[in-house]
Amino acid sequence: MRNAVFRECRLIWIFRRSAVFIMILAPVIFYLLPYARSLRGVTELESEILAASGLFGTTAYMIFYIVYEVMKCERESKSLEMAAAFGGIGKVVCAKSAAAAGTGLLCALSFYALSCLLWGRNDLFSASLLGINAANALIYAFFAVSLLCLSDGMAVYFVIASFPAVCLTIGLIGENKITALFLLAEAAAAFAAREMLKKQMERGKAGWLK
Amino acid sequence: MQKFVSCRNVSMSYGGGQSALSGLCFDIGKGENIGLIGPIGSGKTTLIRCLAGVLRISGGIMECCVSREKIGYMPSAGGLLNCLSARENLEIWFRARHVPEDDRRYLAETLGIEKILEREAGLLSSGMKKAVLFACAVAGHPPFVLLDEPFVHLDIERCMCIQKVIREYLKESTVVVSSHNLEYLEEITDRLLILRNGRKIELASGQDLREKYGADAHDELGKLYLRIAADEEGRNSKKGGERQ
Repeated sequence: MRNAVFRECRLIWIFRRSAVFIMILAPVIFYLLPYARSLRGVTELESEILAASGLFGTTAYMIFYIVYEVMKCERESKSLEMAAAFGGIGKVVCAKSAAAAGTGLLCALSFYALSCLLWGRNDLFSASLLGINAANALIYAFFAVSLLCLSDGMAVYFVIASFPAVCLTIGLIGENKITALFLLAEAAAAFAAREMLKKQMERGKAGWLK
Repeated sequence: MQKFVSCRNVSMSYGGGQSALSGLCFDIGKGENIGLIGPIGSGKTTLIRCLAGVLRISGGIMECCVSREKIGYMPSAGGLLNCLSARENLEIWFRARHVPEDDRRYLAETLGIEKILEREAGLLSSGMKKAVLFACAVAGHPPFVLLDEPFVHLDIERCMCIQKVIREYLKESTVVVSSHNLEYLEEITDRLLILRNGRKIELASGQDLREKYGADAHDELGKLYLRIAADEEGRNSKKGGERQ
């Protein structure tokens, strides 16, 4: 597993410049949001809500970017077959998810640090919010990688790309019940994708072999 | 000879369609080199993928004495990460298998890839890609090595380098190689497994095949293979006729 994660980290390292760019720019955009809203005469949102939505949104966006780029590289190189032969496709998916979620959480950390600096407060992020964000990052990364292993069709990209926006909206709603429901639905979707991946292997029509 | 791989009535079909492998029964001994030959679509790649654990068999029993981490696998296409350099690609496998420095140098020198190590894998020629991929697959003396079409895109010199590595570096490993180049294959393998329509036709050494089919000891294996294939075709059509 350690070697599989090392491989993923080596791959993610290629996209380091864009990843750092996202890490720096995302908090600035979220900091500017309340100003943009006040300019249009819309009621200003609470800082806590903006912080939560920003945290969810930037983490999910970073995961989407990393998973998209890494899987594109794997598909173009047809390199998944060799990686899967070493430890099984399950291990590859887990390693990819862990590495992508880790990068997403690094982005969350950067958002946390820059937000504290920009807002001048460090009580915006509760421990439960950070925990939910970490769980969401892991589930989303697993779901996205599994789905992209199944197929690289337009619909798959659309579903994965819509997640950062959905996460942002969930954060803006700020309802605990809705957040929990969303996490459950996401976990169920990830589980279903994993089962489909297993079925594909059994039927000999693995999408990631193409 | 100690049994290393055992296949009993192995079958494999793609998505409910025509079966790619059917009723395969054979054993591979420890340290034995097996050559896979057969026409396109005969099931060579499918068998190698099943042995590597990339695909699951649909029926039968396939047993192997080593865990999949200890299998060196070279796919017929792709394999290298195009966005990384050749050295970085090799480093992933060297690290995973704890390959010592001497081995790294030996492989780079023998396969003639030292000069292209810093180049991006995606920009390498097909032949160079194959050589790097081969080094990735065999690095660290894996006990079981599966090579799918290793001689494709390679020049004669590089083909001989690959033969040398299989003979010297992998002398203790069990190797399964698929190729259409029977000349190269016969030199590095102990037995040849002839496949046709996913079925085993023969599993014997080149010499045994020549004796069995009454060919001269110096007869080209290619011609002999064509004769075996024609015989099999004849037997099949005869069976079909009897059934009707």
